[in-house]
Amino acid sequence: MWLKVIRFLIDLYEYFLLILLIILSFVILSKNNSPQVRILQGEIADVFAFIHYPGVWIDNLSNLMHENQELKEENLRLALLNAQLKESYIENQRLREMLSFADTSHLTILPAEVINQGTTPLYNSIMINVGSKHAITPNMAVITNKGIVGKTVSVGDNNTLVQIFLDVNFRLGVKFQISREYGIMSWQPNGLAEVREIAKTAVIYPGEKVLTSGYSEIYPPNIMVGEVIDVRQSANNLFQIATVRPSVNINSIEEVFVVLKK
Amino acid sequence: MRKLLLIIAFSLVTIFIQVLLGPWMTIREIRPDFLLILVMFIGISQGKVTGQLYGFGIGLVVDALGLGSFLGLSALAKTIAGFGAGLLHKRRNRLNPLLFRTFEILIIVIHYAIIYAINFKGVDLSSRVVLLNYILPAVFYTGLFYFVIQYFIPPLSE
Repeated sequence: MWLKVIRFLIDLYEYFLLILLIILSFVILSKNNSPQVRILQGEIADVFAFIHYPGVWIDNLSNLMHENQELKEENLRLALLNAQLKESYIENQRLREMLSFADTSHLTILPAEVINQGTTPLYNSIMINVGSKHAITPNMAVITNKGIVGKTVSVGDNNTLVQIFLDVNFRLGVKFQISREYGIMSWQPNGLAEVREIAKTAVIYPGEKVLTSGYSEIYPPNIMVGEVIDVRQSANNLFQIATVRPSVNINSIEEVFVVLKK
Repeated sequence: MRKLLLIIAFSLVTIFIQVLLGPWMTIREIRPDFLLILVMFIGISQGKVTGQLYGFGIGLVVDALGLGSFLGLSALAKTIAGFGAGLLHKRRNRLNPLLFRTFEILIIVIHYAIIYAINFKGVDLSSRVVLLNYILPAVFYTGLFYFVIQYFIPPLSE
């Protein structure tokens, strides 16, 4: 009898193995938010980071000439802008002193290169080439000169995974620059973002800039997020929904900045 | 031992291809999954046990690279894909070719259904939208590569 049971179980070992692996996958899935798993993910990403370097090298090579020309133009433009900004800064300082305002723009940032934009069909994180050795920790804001990119999630010694704003689970507190309304922005399947539950009485303008609200421990205030392209009533007619085009094109970013200290 | 080394070598090459070509081949957030193709090749040629163990292992590596979704999600989907492909082991000549192809497509559908169902859990998207905008395009895109590659390199040593 027992022999038959054992033989029966041995015959089905492939199926038991399948059940075991499925359970194991679910256990790992359920532990996704635990710091230990994040650390482990960071460590493994660190080990496998070498896989991304040939791609980065080829990309860099093909972009070098084009980038050089662009940088020359950018350099000239920045030189002109710099002169203007110096004037503005002096004027700004003078006005601040007059109004007794403290200088609040003390962002400490660290530049980083994007070394990969995803291996799976889903497209919601990037890897950058700085890590805990560069004082990176989870939940630091990642930005470019054009605006918000995302936040750090898993940190290895030399590489860090960044959850980008196109992630389905990404939420960001934002404000509208002109109307001064606040809301929570989330990803939409068409590559745009939406700010929902805006008061019906608020007047939001298409073309209006959307900035970070500052009510976050991660994101500094007044960082560009995007631009309103459409405002519509919600289905129940109680709120407005603003569609936002992100200012950063994730497909083309090569360098980012990690905000070390707000 | 030789077989194991061959599988590791194929895996590394496929990860490289996925990393290098994946971003270039992305169309509306959809890209072909070459690792799924490899899992299916190994499942069909080596059987259920190797297929599911390999699917779990390579899925974990992809998840650990963290470049897509939750840790464990690819492992889950690819374990089931590897097992499903293993069910077709040594059945190529015994099954009706149309039925065999249908099973292959079904495995790819199940793989993506798992991936998108879990990844879009809690997102305000109808099942119809997820099916039409994500699952079916991804199945078509990966399936296309699967059949083209299979035409030139049929699964080995069945």
